Amino acid sequence: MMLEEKDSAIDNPFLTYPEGWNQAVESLVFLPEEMREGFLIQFITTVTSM
Amino acid sequence: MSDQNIYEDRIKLFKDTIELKKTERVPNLSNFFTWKILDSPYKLSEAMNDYDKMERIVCDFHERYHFDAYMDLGTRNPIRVTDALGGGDHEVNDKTESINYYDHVLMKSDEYQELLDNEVKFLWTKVFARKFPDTTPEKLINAVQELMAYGQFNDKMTNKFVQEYHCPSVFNMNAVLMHPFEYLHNNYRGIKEVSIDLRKRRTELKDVIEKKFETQMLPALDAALDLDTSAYVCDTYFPMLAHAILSPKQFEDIYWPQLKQIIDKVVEKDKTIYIFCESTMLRFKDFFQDIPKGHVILHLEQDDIFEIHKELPNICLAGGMTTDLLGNGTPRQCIDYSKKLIDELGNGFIFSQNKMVSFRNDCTRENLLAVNEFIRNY
Amino acid sequence: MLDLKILTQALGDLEEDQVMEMLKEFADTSPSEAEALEAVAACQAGMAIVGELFESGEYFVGDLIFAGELLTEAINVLKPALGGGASVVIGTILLGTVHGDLHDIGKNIFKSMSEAAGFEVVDLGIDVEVDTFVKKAQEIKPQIIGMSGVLTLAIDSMKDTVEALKEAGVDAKIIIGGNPVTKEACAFVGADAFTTNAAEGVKICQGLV
Repeated sequence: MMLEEKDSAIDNPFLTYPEGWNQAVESLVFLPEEMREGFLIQFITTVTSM
Repeated sequence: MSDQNIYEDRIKLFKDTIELKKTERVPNLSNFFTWKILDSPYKLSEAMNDYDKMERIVCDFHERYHFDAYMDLGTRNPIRVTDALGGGDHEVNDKTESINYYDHVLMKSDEYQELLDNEVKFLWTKVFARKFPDTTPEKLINAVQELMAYGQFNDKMTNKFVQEYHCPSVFNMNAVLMHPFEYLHNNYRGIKEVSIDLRKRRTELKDVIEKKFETQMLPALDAALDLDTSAYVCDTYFPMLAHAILSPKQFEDIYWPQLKQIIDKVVEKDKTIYIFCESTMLRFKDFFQDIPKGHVILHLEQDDIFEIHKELPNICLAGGMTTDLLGNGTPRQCIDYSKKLIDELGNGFIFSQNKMVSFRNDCTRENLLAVNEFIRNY
Repeated sequence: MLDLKILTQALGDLEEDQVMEMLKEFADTSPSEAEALEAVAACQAGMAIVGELFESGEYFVGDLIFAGELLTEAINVLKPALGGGASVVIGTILLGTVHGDLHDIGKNIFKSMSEAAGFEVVDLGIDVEVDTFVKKAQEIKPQIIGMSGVLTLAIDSMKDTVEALKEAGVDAKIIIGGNPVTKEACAFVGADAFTTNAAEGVKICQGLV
């Protein structure tokens, strides 16, 4: 699938910035608040490299 | 010999080899990956989705072949993590006994500036969104938990191999360093697109590399060099794949400046770096000629290891044993070649396999048993 | 007036802007089919320079990929002027990445370079089943069959394919290419030739027809 087609198929409010991103950060309740964003950055870097 | 002595001797054996010192025998490092599963009673899909089965497979593998250390302890393909997010870019095929990854492009050619402006926003709304478009808060939490479970499995296997089998770990997971160009080549743009960018968007590409290096890689390098890695085979680990498309001129322009800074810091701190090279390295030999001995290990895939040894006597080499021979040769041929490798490469050689051994016909059990027995006793 | 020598050199130097500017200006002059064919030949000669620079070590794989894209772009500009005519075909190659392997970069580089050298290439894509190779070979009767692969398991797939082709009586020279290919693998597979680089592969194919 071309990227343009992929993009037009993505209609996911969770994958927006900053709203969806902040929601994702806040959802990591099992981590101390100050660690959540750094962890999520590390997480998405890792899984997009898998 | 006590268990503790076996462990310490193995670490010393690797460290002395890296320093190109004369050793009593050659260290034997496993570069076996999914072949371990094919050598077991389990199917690929069973093992890849079940850490208990994977643990049994990896332990059985060690008890059968007795390597000194392992590049992989069943932790190479954490597919449970990506599956939790919807997966989709890999296929575990039990019929062909292979895991295939589909080529994908997750970034457009005109998006370098967006990546530069706000990397987090770009990764979340573009790269991650294109790879996992159906992510929900629940899926994200599941995937995070899977990643943690994977981390725990990794720790468990590392500890088990140290405690029960007295095999040192090759590198600390927190000391893995990746060149920014590798992200663009392997993950975001793909081989074809990044090859075009090298000609058409060189400035933007270099800007991204330089920014990622300054803001992410240098701090990661400093942190890695501060770790106590005395119990590991090497202090840092650097996988190389993207150089496979580069000419020496391009390598000098977009890859070497950062790699050189890393190597210089490693040398300055008297540490070591294990550079795992897919494809070939010979055309880049000039870059490595002046590195002081005792700091760099090059694990070679497709090069003629004897030729590289002549060109780079200052570098510890790993690899050598070919899957061609392990899969298609006789035990005698494998042993003869192993002997030639050890005799000709002398000090500063870590015996291993040239490829990440993954497919059934890459090796036979008979050949591997014969080779490892020979290595232990030669 | 299009300077064919400069066009050839510009393509060899991978000077995309220069190549495209020259060809667009040329296309605007409503060239005859014969003139357009000359321009195609000049581009093909540029690809030969690319091959030479690859062999000398000046260019590497990324450059070959870029060259393939540039050539495709160039031919697209010339297509309207080419009409139904085509340059001389020196032979037909049936090409594909063998069963179990999904890699296509090397195959595609070889494809664009061999097309530039005057071959007609029928590309079966990736993960090509043995039967698909056999049926297509029987249908189009190529002079050469090229099999590509990156994974070591591709060697076994190549062997299966070669055996099936021979069993079906297909009379074509077989060349295998890719990362795991060696002299030993070539003998094991039963192929006529092997290569790990596309530029050399094209030369081998030129010698086979």
